[in-house]
Amino acid sequence: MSDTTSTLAAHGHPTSATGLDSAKLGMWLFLATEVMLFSAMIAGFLDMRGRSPADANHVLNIPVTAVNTFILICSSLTVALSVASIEQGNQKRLRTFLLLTLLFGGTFLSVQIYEYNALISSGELTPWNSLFGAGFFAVTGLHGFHVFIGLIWCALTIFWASRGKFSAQNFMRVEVFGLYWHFVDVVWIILFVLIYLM
Amino acid sequence: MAADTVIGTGLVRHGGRKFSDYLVFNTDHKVIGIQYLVLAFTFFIIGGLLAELIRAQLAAPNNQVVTGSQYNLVLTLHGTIMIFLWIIPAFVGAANYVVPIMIGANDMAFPRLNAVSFWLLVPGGLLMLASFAVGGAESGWTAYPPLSVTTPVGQTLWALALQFIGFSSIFGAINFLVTVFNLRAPGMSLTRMPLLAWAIVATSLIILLGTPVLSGVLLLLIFQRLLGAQFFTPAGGGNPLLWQNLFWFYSHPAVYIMILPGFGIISEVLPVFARKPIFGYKLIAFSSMAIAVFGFLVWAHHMFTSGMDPFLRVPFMVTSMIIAVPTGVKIFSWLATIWAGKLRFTTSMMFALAFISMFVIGGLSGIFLASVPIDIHVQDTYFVVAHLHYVLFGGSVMSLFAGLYLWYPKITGRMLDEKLGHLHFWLTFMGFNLTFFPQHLAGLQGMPRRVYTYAPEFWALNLISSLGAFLMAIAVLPFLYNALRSLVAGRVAGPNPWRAFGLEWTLSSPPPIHNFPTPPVVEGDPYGYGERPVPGTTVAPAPGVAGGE
Amino acid sequence: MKHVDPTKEALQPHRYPGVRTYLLVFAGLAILTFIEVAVSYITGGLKVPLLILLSAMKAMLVILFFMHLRYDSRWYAFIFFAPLVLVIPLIWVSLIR
Repeated sequence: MSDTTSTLAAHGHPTSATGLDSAKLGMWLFLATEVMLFSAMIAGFLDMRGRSPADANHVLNIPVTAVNTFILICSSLTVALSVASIEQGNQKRLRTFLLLTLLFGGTFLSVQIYEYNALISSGELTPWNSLFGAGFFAVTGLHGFHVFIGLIWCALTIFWASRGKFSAQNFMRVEVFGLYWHFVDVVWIILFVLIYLM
Repeated sequence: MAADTVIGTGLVRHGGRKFSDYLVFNTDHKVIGIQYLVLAFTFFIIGGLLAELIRAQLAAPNNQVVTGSQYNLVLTLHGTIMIFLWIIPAFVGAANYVVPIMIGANDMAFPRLNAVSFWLLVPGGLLMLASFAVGGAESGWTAYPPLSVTTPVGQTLWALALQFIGFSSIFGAINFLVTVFNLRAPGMSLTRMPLLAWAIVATSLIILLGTPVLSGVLLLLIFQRLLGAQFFTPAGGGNPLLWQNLFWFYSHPAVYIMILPGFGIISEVLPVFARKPIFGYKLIAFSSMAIAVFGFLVWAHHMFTSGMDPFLRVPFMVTSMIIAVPTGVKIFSWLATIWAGKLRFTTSMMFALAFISMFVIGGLSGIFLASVPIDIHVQDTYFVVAHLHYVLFGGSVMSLFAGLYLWYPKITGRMLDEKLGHLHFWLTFMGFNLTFFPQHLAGLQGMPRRVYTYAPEFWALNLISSLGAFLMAIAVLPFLYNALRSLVAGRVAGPNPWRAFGLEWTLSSPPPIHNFPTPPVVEGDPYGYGERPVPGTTVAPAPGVAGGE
Repeated sequence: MKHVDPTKEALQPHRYPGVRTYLLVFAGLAILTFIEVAVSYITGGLKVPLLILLSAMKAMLVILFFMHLRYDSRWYAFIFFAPLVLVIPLIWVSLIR
C-alpha cells in the first residue's frame, strides 16, 4: 500500500467500535441517499403523471421491457453468485459471474437506449412534448445512468479480481459492489411497476 | 507505519509537512481540514464583497451602483456562496480537523474519499464563479421557476456547481458518520464523546437524507432548461410548486446543517472558559438528534404564501413551532453551564456568549415567522432577511469564530493575539447589529426583499444598515492580520494552552501526522472541570488569565 | 464500551445463503414479474394495490436475500428503511393540489 492510504485501512478490517464493517456501513449509508434521490425523482414523475392523460404510458413497449426487467434480475442473480463464489474462495467463478453481470447489465442498458431512441425519433414520447415524457425520461434516465456507473464499477471489480485482490477472507469490495448493483435492481423493480404497468 | 518516513513528492500525499502538501490530493484529515477552511474563507471574502455591493446599492433609494439585473445576480451569488461555499465548508473543515482527534482516531474512516470531498469543491466553486462571470443566475439562491427556467446560461452553471458541491457534502457526511460510529477510541462510549461529535452526527444525517433531494430537483431544472421538459411551468402544464416543495424539503433542513455544528462548538467552548462541566450533556446530545429529525417536517413554512393548499399551513405552523423546543433546551443548558462559572473572557468566549444572545434573537424572529397570520404579512420582506442573518451570522458565523479562536493554537502551534481578537469581536458585533437590526423594522414597515431600490420612507433604516455593513467589512481586517501574523510571530502554544479536557489537547500543537501513536484509553467525558484534574497540567490553575498560561 | 473487532463480523460461520437459496429467490422474482405483467392487463380497483404488493415482494426478496439484509446487522436495515419515513410526507405533500 502506498504512503497515501490511512494507517488504519491496512487491509480490510480495522477495529470498529460498533463491530460493523466500515465499508459496508458506508455503502448502506450511501444507499440511504439514493433512496432519497429516487424518491425526489419519483415525486416529480408522479406529479407529471397526475397531470397527464390516464393512457399516457400506452406508448411504452411492455413486453420488451418485461423481458428487460427479467434480464436485470438475472444480473442481480449473477452478482449474488459472484459474491457466493469468492466467499468460497473460487476466483474463476467470481470472475465468470461478474462477467455475466456485465453482460446482462450491458444488455439491459442497450435495450433501454434502443427504446429511448425509438420513442424520441418517432416523436411518440419525448421529454419536451409531454409531461409524462418529461417525468419518464428524467427518472428512467437517472436509473440508466446508475446502471452505467454500475457497469464501470463491475468492470473495475473484474479487473481487481484478475489482479488477485480478493480472497475468501477479503472480499468486502465485491460485496459492496453487489449492494450497489442490487439496489439499482430494486429501483427498477419499483419503476417498472410505477411507470410501465400502472 | 512506513508512511511517516516517506516524504511525498507526488500529487497524492498524506500529511502536512511542507507548504506544497496543502496544494495536492492529501489524505490527512488535518490537511484536508485546513484546505476546506482556506477555501471557505476565500469564499467568505467573495460573498462578503457581494454583500458590500448589495449594501452599497441600497445605501440610498434609486441608486446606480448596479442595474436591477446585475443586482439580482449579486444577491443570488451572495446567498449561494455564503451557504454552500462558506459556512458549510467552513464547519466541515473545522470538524474534519478536530473531530477525528476528539474521538481518539488517527484519521477519518475513508481518507481518500475525504480528499475527494474537498477537491469536488474546486470545480463546484469555479462553476459558481463562472455563473457569476457569465451572468444569468438571477433568480435568488432559491431559484424559483418560472424565472429560473428562462434565465440565461449562467443559471445552468449555477445548478451544475451545486451538484458538485452536493456530492462533496454527501460523501463527507458518510465519512463523518462511519468515523464517529466506528473509530472511537476504547472507552469512548457514545455518551462520553464530545458534543461536537454528536452535532456532526446529527448534521451528517441531515446532509445524508436532504441533499439528494436537492440534487434531484436540480436535475429536473437542468432537464427543463436543456431539454424543454415542462416540469415547472404552468404554460406547459407543469407545476411551480413542485420546485418549491422539493427545493425546500432540502433547504429547510439545510439551515440546521448550518447551525448544528455551531451548537456543537458552543458546547465545547463554554465549559473550557467557564471551567465548569457542560450542563445537560444528554439533553444537548439528544436535542441535536431531535432537531435533525424534526427539521425534515417543517419545510412548507417557506411556502405559506405560495398558493399551496391552505390546509397545509396549519400542520407546518405547528411543527415549525415545536422545533423551537429542542433548541430552547440547548440554550437553557448553555446558560446553566456558565451560571456561577469562573468565566475567562477570551475572544473565543466572547463570540460564544454573543452567539447565545444573537441566536436567541434570530430564534425569536423565527417564531414570529412560524406563525401564519404574521408570516403572510412579512414573507418576502426584510423581516425575513433580518431573521436569517441573525441566525446565520449571529449564530453560525459567530460560533464558527468561537471555535476557530479555540482551536487555532492546536492547528498552528501558535496563539492568536487576544487584543486583535477582541477588536475583531467588537467591530463584528457592533457592525452586525447595526446592519441587521434595522432590517426587522424595515420589514415590518413593508420593505420587500430582493429589490434594488425602495420607497424613500425606508432610506434611514437602509442607510444605517449599509453603514453597519461597512463596519463588518472593516472588522475582518484585524482577524486576517491576526491569523496570518500569528502563524509566524504568535506566542508558541503548548499542547494545552487553555488547560482544557478533550483528547485533542493531549497531543502536541500541531498534532503528529498520525495523531495518536497508541490508541488513547478514555475513562470519562471531556467535561470534568472541577471534578478531576486536567490531564497533562499541574494541579493549581492560575486565576483566569486570557490565554491560559 | 466493548471493543468489537469486525473481522469477527466477516469471519462468522457462514450465515449467508448458498447457491440454492439464490436460485429459489431468482425463480420467485421471475414468477412475480410474470404475474405483474399479467395483472397489468386487468382493469378495476384491484390492479394498483396488487401491483404495489407484487413489486414490494420482489423488492423485499432482493433486499433480504441478495443484499443479505436478513443475515446482517439490524442497523443496516434501519439505515435503509428509516428514510422511508421521510419519503412519505415528501411525496404526499408534493402531490397535493
